[in-house]
Amino acid sequence: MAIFGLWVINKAGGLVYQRTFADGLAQLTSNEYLILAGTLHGIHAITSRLSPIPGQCSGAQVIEGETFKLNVLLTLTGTKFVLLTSPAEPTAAIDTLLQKIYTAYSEKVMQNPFHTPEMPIRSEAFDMSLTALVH
Amino acid sequence: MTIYSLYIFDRRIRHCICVYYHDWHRTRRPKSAVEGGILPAVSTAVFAPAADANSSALSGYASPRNTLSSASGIVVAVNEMNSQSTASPLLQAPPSPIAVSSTGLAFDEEVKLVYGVVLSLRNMIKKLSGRYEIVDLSENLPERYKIYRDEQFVNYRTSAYKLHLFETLSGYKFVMLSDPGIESMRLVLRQIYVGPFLEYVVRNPLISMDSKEHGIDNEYFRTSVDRMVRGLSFYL
Amino acid sequence: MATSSKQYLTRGEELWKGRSEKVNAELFALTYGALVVQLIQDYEDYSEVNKQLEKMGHNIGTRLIEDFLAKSNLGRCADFREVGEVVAKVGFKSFLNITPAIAHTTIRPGSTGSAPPQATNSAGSSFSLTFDENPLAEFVELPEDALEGGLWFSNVLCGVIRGALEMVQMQVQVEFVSDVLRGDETTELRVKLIKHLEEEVPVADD
Repeated sequence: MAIFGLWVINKAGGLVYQRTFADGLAQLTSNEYLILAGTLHGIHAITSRLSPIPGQCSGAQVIEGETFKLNVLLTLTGTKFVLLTSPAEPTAAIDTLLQKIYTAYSEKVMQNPFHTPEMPIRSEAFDMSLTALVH
Repeated sequence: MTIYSLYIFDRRIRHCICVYYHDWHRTRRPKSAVEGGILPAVSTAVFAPAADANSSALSGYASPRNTLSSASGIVVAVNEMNSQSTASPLLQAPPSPIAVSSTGLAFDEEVKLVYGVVLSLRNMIKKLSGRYEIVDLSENLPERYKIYRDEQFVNYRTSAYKLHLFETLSGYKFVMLSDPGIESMRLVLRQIYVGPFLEYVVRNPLISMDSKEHGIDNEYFRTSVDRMVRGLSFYL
Repeated sequence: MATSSKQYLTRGEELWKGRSEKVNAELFALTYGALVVQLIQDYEDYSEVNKQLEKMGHNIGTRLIEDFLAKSNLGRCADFREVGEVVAKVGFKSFLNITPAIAHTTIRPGSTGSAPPQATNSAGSSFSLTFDENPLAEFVELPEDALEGGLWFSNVLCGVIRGALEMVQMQVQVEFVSDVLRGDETTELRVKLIKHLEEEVPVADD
């Protein structure tokens, strides 16, 4: 059971926040993370179009590998929170955590008048909230 | 809980070559593929009303009943509810169609999207996991005995469906879309590979495995896959 | 090393025993023999026959690898040395019930080899397989002109190995270097890694 990291992707597909909480996955360069985030953004849009049944379909919510998974929360405003965890982490707990992270984001990031929306997040308060939530 | 569709992609990784398609409870369908957009012998003409007329197109390759695609190149002619009567006698008729809607995508476009998503996610997962395992822990082995696991992308889930991947070392990709509630289909996909695929494709000398002209569809394979999927406990 | 090698021997043994269908060895040998003789009659040129046998083998190999992967359930090999172990101890054992002796040669980068420098450090590595029995050649005595013409009677094996390894992204060069049928001391086949076929990955997003 582990939480490896968090990405925040803005509505244009840009990575505005990336943080590693625990070892276990590859250490990539910030440029590589940017590319992966962009890819994920594109894929997310396509996955909702591939639905085999009628009706609304979300994009990919969980993407699983063998030793880790990516959990995606898409907010109504188009921001994506991607939590990288071990595969055994229960869905309900992750959803709750993602919701709390979203709340922290809205309080610590969006309500800060010096933060420009859609731009990279540099906020100590947000960092601290995350540390408290994850550990 | 059910199964929607199965795609099999060829060993070549650089190109999207779909060699087989099969669907079950799918109620939202793609439009027909454009001419030349998809190989013949990928999907049965279960949905193509014109199938019987063109059975000579692949003579000697498969039984005429199993006309895989019409000579016109249209493989999945969808939204034709009346066409389902042409199903092969070995196959159970699909359940009576409910409301069938369209994805708005042509089948060949859909196939490309599925392949694109699978490949991108597979590469993303491999890139993100930077792990290796040591083959034999009992000895102090030099670097070259470490096995670099290439971590596999296993599945993704949306609110409406779940996509599962099983990839062989040789590069065949078995992709299945199911109900989002199904935990894992990898074993089932592996069973399709070890069972019907080995039996009726690999060992069938009439099926060329890396052909750029034909898919791998044949009646025995299709029937056998169909039986296997319908026999699953969560197939409703 | 010793342990994993033994592991492969056991795996090969299991697969051989577990394989349900077997064919009579005489029938197999006779069929192959008849095929080679027919090729000789058709082509009237031994080097062409060698080529055709290799080609047939290649076709077999590209299919056989799937059979092998499906049944053996082995993972990807870490290096070319391991590839050799698996080919000899699991591959040959499970399909032909023989285990050729294996010898590895690794060309170290920087050594004076004629091989051009390669990016992959294992390129240029090779292993040789020495057969003390060969089910294909059970009853064979090569006639004089076949000896002179340079026939490699079991050349189909080269193709099988090349085809199979190609499907798991390795380009290899496989050839017989000696054959007891030709009066040599041993029957030896050499497999040399040319390169790993990189999968170039296009981002296929539309």
